[in-house]
Amino acid sequence: MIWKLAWRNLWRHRGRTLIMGSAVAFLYGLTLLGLSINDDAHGRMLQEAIAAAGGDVLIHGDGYWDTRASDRVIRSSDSALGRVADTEGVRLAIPRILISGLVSTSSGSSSVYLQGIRPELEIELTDPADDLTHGSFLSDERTDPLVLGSGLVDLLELELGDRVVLTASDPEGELVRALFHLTGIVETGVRALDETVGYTTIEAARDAVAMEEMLSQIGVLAAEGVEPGPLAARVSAAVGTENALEVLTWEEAVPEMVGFVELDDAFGLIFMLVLLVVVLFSITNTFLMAVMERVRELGLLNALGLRGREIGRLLIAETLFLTALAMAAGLVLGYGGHLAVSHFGISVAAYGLEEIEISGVELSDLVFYSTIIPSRWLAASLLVAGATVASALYPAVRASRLAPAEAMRFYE
Amino acid sequence: MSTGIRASAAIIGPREATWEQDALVRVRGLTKVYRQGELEVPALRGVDLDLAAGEFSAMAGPSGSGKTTLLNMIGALDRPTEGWVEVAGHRANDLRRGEAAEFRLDHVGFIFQAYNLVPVLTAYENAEFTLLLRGVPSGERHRTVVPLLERVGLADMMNRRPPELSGGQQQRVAIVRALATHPEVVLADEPTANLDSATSGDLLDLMLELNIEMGITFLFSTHDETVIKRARRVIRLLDGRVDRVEVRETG
Amino acid sequence: MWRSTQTSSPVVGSEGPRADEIPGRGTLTSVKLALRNLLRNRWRSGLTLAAVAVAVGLMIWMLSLYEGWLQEMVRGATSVETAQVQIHSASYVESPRVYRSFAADSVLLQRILDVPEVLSASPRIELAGLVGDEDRSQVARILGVDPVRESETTPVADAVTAGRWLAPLPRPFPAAREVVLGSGVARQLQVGPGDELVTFLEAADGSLGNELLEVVGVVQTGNTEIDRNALYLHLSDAQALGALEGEIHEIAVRTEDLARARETAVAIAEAVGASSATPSPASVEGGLVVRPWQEILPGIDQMIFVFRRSYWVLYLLVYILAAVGVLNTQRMSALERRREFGVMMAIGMRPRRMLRTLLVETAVLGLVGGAIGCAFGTALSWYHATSGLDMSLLARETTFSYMGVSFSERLYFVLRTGNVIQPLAVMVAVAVVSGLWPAIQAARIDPAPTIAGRS
Ligand SMILES: Nc1ncnc2c1ncn2[C@@H]1O[C@H](COP(=O)(O)OP(=O)(O)OP(=O)(O)O)[C@@H](O)[C@H]1O
Ligand SMILES: [Mg+2]
Repeated sequence: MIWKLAWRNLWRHRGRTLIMGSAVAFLYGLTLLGLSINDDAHGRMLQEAIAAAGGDVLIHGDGYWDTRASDRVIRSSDSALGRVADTEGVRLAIPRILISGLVSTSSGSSSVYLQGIRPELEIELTDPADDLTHGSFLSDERTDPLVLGSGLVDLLELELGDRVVLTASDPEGELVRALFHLTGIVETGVRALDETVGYTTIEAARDAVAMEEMLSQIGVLAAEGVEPGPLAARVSAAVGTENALEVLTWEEAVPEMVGFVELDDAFGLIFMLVLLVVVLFSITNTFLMAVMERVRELGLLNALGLRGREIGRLLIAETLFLTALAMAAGLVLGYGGHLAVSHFGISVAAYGLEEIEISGVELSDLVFYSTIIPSRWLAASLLVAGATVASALYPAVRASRLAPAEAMRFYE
Repeated sequence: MSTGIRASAAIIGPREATWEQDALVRVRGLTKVYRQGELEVPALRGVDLDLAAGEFSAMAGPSGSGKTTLLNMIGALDRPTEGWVEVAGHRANDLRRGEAAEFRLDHVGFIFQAYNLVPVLTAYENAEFTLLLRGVPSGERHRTVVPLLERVGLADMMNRRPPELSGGQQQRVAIVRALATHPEVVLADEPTANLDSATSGDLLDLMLELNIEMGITFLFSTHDETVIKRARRVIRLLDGRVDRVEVRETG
Repeated sequence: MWRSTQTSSPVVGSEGPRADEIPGRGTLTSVKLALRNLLRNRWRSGLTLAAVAVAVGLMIWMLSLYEGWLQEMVRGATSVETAQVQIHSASYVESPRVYRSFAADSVLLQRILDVPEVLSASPRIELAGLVGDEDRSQVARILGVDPVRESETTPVADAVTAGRWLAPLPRPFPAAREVVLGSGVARQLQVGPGDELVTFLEAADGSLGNELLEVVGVVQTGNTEIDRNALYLHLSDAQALGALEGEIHEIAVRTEDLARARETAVAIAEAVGASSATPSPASVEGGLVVRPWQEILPGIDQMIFVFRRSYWVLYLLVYILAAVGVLNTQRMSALERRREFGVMMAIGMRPRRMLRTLLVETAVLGLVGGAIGCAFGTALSWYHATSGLDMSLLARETTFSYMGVSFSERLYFVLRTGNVIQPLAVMVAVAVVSGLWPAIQAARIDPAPTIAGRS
């Protein structure tokens, strides 16, 4: 009976229902959409960060990650690699030689961040060959292949097949020079990266900087559903302490990126909460009006046998209906927006912004998409629903307890 | 006495009447039909009426006879279906909304049955409201309104807001507001309907005095005998027509 | 207000215009009417004002946050590394090579310094090389600078965290050359003031340069490019190392106004007879090019552009919700006052004036609410502008870099007059627009049936 009356009342004040409902629906829809766009962007940032770091868990010579010092290497790497690969929860262990050095040609020299890799393993994380524009990606017969970023190639005026000299320091601190041949060119789209990146095979890299039996990094990929934290602990136990190695989760390796995402999330939450407050003020206002109307109708409702408490209940029922309707509309709005954004994307590149660097991780291809994380949508829904109902309940409960004359004064 | 009234009613009766050349308000062939969906409700069925300057007239008739409708037509609050209305030579019908408002501001004063005043304004501010709408400067408004408020006995209540005034006091403020612009005619639709008879009598006496002092024409609609008693002319409406007009001497 | 004494005389006006003694009193303006009407229902107006105030306050706070972020980014990117304007040879701009240098001409430098907006200028050499000791080595960006001019042009000397900045004059040979390292380079090489390093690089003539260095200081500038890679060296030492005697690669110029860098670049170009635009690859031949930071760091410039664009999205989100509040209040309040409006129009108020009165009411609502919002939004932003926002309250790890600029712990907001006034002005406009519909509805009231209670 009360529910029916509440439902009718909603439709009787159609204009008010519409305005209030649309405010809640609009806020809720936007919150959902904003949340899923943010979550998508943050997810991709962290994914990029994992790729840039080199794996879910990283193993280096102790202190390497912080200093990038050429003498902090993983010695007796074969046994370490073997033990890591056998650790439970490890999908793949990717060995790497990382060299920071100079590449020189007749027309000059430039700094390079050269990675000696096994291309067939790297594919499991990200395939660097995707960015190949010329030549081949470490797949021909040469023993000294070199793939460089397009910016670096331009800077050094190189062509495929040209000789390139690498100068770097070996683990003993000796400067060494090694000859490579340019076999491929990659273009990532990120300028800073294209001007420094280089790839070669792990064997050629080992030859160049005298790192037989050694590695700079082992990138560990976790098996499905394995968290990096516990995995790092197991890996750490597996490699033991005698080798003086550091084992880092990717979150520890790029804490700044994690921090940035957290901060961005926090600002998003502040923004949303304040908007919620703006909407709640209007909702409280409307419900106060509704209460006043009801207090004026009290005589009539009393005659029908409705008491103060029941009027309060009537208002609560109305609130619940309104909230449910509005949130249903908001859900449609948010989900529709999500579908549209995840399909078409919102391109920032259209405004000329092509890349963003955050804590050393370069993000290019700046198109925002949308990903739903159900738990976050649920949390947002509960928050909006709870706040809306609460803001309407207060005037309802308070006014239903007052005598009509008092209630009038309460509002005026 | 009663035969005399009938006689004069016959003279100024609707059709055979000889029109007063200097009539202030002239109503001719006024018809109003309200449409309610399919249904046509005739509220006025051809009213002819003249009102001389300085008149103090009452319009009486059973409920639904068309009193309010006729007053609204004279005050340009509503448009006739047929016929026309003239106040001091100005047509009151066929005006656009803005023009109608201007017409009312310039030529007509209104007093309604209830909810006459703007609740957030003081008695003084309500009284000067029409002058304000006319763009009269504040000093002049003050010079006009204060004596009138004193005249109606509200000298001590100028700063009170309507909720702090009695019904009679509120109607006095409405009278001052209606008179402040020196309109050609003051139209009052059942001004005493919400008042007790003693207050009604006082209010009517006051209006009559003002009518004499200021020479402003009054036209009321009423069911109230205290009002009818004081009117110099009583126009009886029946079913949307002027049934008869009674003229009498009042003291 | 004035109180009239009861006088028998009906003509009070003859005693003199009392209202004139207290000017403005007793005068009924639209604003006053609006205020009265708003005060009539305090709960309703109060809640609406609060919604408006929160919206405006939030906008001001967000804009100040963004501006602080942008300013920090521009400052971090420009102050140490690029300064505000840079001069290179045209071919160097096209593709930087060691040998694409130009003569370090004192007349040229003086002409630049004579441009009114120019505060100082620093000639530089830039070389890529390896630095290291017997344990390890690292790639570095070797910057040859005049220590005095460089410290006048950039805040690098203030960024010294260990040791000291370069001495004004290079050491006499054969002592080791003085160098100052970026904090990242120092950490990676694990060296500090007093430690010796060796550098190794390819000189302009293709020969291999080699030099013994002594670290005298470490700088942490907040610019990740500098902090991770830079090695500062005396200009003449760098020239010797790179076989570039008498030559330089660039002149970095500090100007009075960061925002007017484009205009200043043009003025400098005119003064030295150089081009002021980035050369197209076809026109690389000779000559100098003067470029403002916006052209050297287009990414930052675009970032600012995109951020400022996105302000309108913020406005849209925040103000639509506030507008719904205003609309609702005004609609309800207009409904409640229908009778009153009917009477006002019956006694001669023109519909147009009715409309105006109601719009003034919403404008007052927007203005008063906006002013309150302005007050606390500005106060909060001011607090965060002076003491900074402690970002560690919002995230565990707050030292990250963004577009090459390090942010840490505290973010200092930037409060600009425009960013206080604009949210207020937009809010008043939004309020008036959202009050339009209820106001038009009210102005359309037909007085006769309204007074009769028939509608
Ligand atoms: N807006 C309207 N729509 C439909 N019918 C109307 C309208 N206004 C008046 N009427 C009808 O016109 C007739 C005359 O009404 P009017 O209000 O003039 O009567 P009245 O003489 O003032 O009555 P009362 O003494 O009750 O005030 C009535 O039958 C009424 O129902
Ligand atoms: Mg009537």
